Amino acid sequence: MSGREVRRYDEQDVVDAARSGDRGAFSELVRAHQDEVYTLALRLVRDREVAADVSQEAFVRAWRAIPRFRADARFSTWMHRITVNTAFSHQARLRRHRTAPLDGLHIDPEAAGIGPERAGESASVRPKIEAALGELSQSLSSVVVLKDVYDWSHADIAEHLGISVTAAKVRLHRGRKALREILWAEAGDQ
Amino acid sequence: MTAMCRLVQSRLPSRDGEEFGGAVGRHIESCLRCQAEQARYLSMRRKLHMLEGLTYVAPPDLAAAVIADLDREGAESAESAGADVRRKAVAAAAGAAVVAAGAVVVLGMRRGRAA
Repeated sequence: MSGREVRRYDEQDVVDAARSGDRGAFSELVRAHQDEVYTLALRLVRDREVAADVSQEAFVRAWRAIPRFRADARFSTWMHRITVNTAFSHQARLRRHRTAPLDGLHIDPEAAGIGPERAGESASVRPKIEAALGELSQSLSSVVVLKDVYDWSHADIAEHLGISVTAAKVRLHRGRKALREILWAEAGDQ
Repeated sequence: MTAMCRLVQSRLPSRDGEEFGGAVGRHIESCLRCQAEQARYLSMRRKLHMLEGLTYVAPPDLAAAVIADLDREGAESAESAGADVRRKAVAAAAGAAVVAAGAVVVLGMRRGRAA
């Protein structure tokens, strides 16, 4: 079942049931939001297995926290914040345990399985821009993804990354500049 | 490339689509190179924003794995709640035993005094 289908029959009722401890209702939310949560995690951690682990952990954290979820907020927005927190804490744990840097890992859109929704709409744009994001260092791509893909504010990005707003703005500037160079260098700067 | 072109290009990555004003704005209006560069950044941001609605398909076992985690967590919390009830029952029984022993001692002392 897609996220859109759940919203059609009023997701709020499902969220309310989950808030009162209904695990079946929460499972329905998991199925409805798993693709978007996995996609966000994949864009941040850039490894399919790690993204699956992050998504799983994010949903478990959400289940524990859902009694405190404010009814006036959007479930998907709330889920995004949990996913970003989980991805960064997961990355911090991985950095402590692994010697190889994660930077440079690329998303393989075909292997990752692109959702059928609007697949044709941006078939030419998507692989190129996702691959270019994959060429940025992870600290730069995270900021570009959160700001330019998900429209987060500088303050929210800074808070979730544990950096100052100025540092978030500097990373965004550097990330966009690098991305522009990657995207138009290939086309001979046309 | 003029000094003004370099200034424009150094500022473009920080802009969120808003227009430049003053001398910089006037320069862009008359400079094809800077107009092209501005268009590239706008195009790049538009393409990035398009990605929000384009999802990858989650692994088929993700939802099942989450539900299994929740079931395990539910079983553990039920078990710890049961253990908590058992601990409280033992504590209550121990408390009652202490009260009963105290009552026996007090009664014994009263009987001793009465004799």
